Amino acid sequence: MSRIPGASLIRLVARLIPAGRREEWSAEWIGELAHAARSGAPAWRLHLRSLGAVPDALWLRHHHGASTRGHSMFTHDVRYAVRTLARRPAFTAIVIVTLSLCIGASTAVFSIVESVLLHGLNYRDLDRLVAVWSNNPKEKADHYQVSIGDYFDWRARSRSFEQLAGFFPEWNVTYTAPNVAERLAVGAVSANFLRMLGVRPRIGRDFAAAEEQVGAAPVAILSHGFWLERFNEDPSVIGKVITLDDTKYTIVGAMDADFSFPQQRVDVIVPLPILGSYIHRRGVHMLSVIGRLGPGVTIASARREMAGIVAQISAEHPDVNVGLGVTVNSLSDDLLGDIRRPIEVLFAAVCAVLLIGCANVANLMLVRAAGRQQELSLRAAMGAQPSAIARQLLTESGLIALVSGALGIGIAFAVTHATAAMLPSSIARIGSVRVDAMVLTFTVVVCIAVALLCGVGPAVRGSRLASGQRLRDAARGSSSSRSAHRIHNGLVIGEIALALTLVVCAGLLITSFARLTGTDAGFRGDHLLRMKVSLPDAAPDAKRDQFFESLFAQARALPGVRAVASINRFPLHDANLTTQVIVDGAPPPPDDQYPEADFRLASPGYFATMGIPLLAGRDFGSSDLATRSSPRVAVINRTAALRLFGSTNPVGRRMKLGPESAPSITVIGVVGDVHDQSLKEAPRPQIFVSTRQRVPTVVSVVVRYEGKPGPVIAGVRRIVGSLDAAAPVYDIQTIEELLVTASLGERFTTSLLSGFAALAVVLAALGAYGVIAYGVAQRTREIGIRMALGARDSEVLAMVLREGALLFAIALVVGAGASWWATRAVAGLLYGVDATDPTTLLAAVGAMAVATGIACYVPARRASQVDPTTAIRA
Amino acid sequence: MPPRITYSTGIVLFAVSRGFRYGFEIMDASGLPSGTVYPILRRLEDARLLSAKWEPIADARDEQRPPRRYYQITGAGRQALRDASARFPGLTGTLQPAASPTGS
Repeated sequence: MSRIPGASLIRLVARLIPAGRREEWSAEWIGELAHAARSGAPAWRLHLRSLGAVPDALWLRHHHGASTRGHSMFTHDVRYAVRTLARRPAFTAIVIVTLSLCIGASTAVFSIVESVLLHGLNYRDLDRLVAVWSNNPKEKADHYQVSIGDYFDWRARSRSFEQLAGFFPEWNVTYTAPNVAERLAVGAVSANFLRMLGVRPRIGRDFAAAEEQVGAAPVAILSHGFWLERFNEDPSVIGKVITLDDTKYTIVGAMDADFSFPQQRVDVIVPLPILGSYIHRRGVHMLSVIGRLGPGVTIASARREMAGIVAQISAEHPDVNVGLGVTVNSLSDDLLGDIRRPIEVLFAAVCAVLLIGCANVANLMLVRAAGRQQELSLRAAMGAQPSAIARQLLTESGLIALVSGALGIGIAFAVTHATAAMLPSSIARIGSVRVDAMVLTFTVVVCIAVALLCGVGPAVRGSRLASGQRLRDAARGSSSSRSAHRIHNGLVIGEIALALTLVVCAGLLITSFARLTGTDAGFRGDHLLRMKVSLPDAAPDAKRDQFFESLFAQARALPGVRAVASINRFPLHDANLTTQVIVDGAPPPPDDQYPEADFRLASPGYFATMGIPLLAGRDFGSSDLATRSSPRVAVINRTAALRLFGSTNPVGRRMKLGPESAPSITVIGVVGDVHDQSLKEAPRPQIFVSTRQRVPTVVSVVVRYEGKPGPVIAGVRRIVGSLDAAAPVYDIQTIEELLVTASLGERFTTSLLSGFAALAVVLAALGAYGVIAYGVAQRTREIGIRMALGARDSEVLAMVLREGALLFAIALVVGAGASWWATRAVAGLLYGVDATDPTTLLAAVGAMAVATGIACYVPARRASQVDPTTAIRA
Repeated sequence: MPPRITYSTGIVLFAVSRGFRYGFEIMDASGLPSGTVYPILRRLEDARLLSAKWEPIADARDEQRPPRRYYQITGAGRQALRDASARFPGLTGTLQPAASPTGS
């Protein structure tokens, strides 16, 4: 039989029909539909008619259902609950809006927790993976990259690891294909890298051990992103050849989408030999090392073994490895360490908001249960068991939780996308944030918890109220149990205390964020632009120098360009590179530990272009060249001047960068400090060498412009293209963008936490309002009598406000305790502000006091305007 | 307990009495939607104002389709229709002009 329009709906709806009648019922509907279809009725009409099967089935189920008693009681309860809630649309709307906001927010934050903290690192047996670093106890540096020589020695000598892999996550190469010159991020890895992580390429094969040897045929494994973008996921890519920095690599595999390279996103994975000459130099610390612990091996025992091995190697290579130690940490702590705390804080905050929301709703429902005393008593008098009434009230809160949960999931879907867009890249690259099955499970659990938290109190109270003897009291409306009042007050105190805690934390983060963004980076960020330009490593220095000189000369002539310069590592953007500094004539340090400074290559005019002030001496000039007759010169920053030369004038002093055998260079100028690695970190000592004396292969070209950046970027691209068609221009941004990016993580945490705090304040104030207003309504008669006996408006106002003030005072004490505990948790996220900053704490208390004050004043004012005659008669 | 005869119930009863015997035919004749007609048919059948049978299997087999269930008015149904016609005088003029029964 061909497909009958509407028949599938019938089969679906048939499940509603009691089993004994199901077959006959379906046959009748299918029979009619089939006949109509044969008679040529249009399909849409049959679909429309098949909809009638739903009421038909519901009618049959209701009238002929062989349902159990419990089942019918349940439907009865649900129907009753729907009717009760529909009768009070305002109450129902407030409750559902409150809860769906809270559930939506907690679901959205949980989706971040889940995708980043729980599933962010998609490696097998993650708890057995450890990060191994070199360290230098004297310099208090415990995360030194590992030199390649050390890594191979560690791997050969250690027994703690099933696999010990080394990798360099940020090697950059130029990928060339017909009409394409593009900079790619390459992960250079030891051959056992993927095996160590416990992952395999989706297609093709892993690297073979021999492929990490220098001189082996070059091979590459593509990241999923690159495979998709360049080869459209074509499986026949295996065996094809790609050109990276003029070397041909055979593609042997491609990764799956859920694989993320540790630390950094990469386009292509290749064996270590791509690092070229670095591979032979023990003094160059560039590898990150991750190990998979063998069965039964603990981190502590691996640490002990590695300490022994490192001591051995230091003894064998005293020239370069002096003072080095080893750090062994769990990989998840190592990779998630910095972002775990902010996410945990946000999750705790959103849970607090959820609790406040529940307390609020519970309070509203308790008040309402009291208002329904007469109804409940009447039902009890007519034979309803207290358990039946409790079940009825629980059904109501369950229904509310269900509807709020559904809306909350909708909200979560909507905001998760927006939230994910706000995520700083350090978080975003770890896991793609989305609402999935696990997140939905969380939401369901939250809804059940909400139903219980909001429903149990009213249910217990409702079933107690529903005893016959209360009917009389209820009719008079004078019954108010003291314990109920205590519960209301307790809930509100809890709400205010929690909200206060959130406001304190948000206040601290806001102050910290203001200090952070207010921090002077050390250069003028407006109308400033940077873009990377890269030349082949193999090109001779003179040719590269000439390229950059022509580029600068032509770029300066572009309309809208005021200054052009370059630097090899741009502040707040590129990774650091440091060097040992030996000041000529200074006594050698007692432990051979010479000071370290950041090492940069800057072009003449860089400082002026950036707006970094020249404090003493001069900038690089066009005469400071790489020729034999031109002396080597350096510019240092203020911090370096103080650290290296103390109070003496550094201009004209000489120093060596690197080993003692290095040539001396002369300090010609001192410039202002710049925040280089992060705005939070104090400026570090920095030494600049002219790009004309040591020509880099990759630079950030820095342009100070007027008007719009677009034409300037296009102009520079055109010039670079005309000078060398294979030189890519990439990684372009205005410095205003860069400064925003530099504080993106803080902006994310601060804005989200502030939002939660604001929501908490509003909810807590609503809660306080509800309780005070309820108290006033209950005491209308009493207030009326007082006023009839001569109490003035102001006295009544003060009486009610006193009640609010007492609640607030108790909440303040509780909240202070909670804040003390919570500020410990956020202390690590703060910059430039103390966790006990009195201004912030006072402002938080003030804000909370104002909110609570307004919430209490409204009902207090209403109480003071009670008309005594009406009130007494009521 | 005899069902309350509403206006729609009356129309359905009247349509069946005029030889409209199948669910979809009754809808076509009465102009009522499927979600209304079927529950009314169930109610009338429960109250024994209508009886239902399956069409002979051979008829359906000839047309290569499943058989349909058809409804007939009972004696009690005719009495109830008379009562309803007295309450709703317009009832007998309600059927769609173009509709004609397939049966009888």
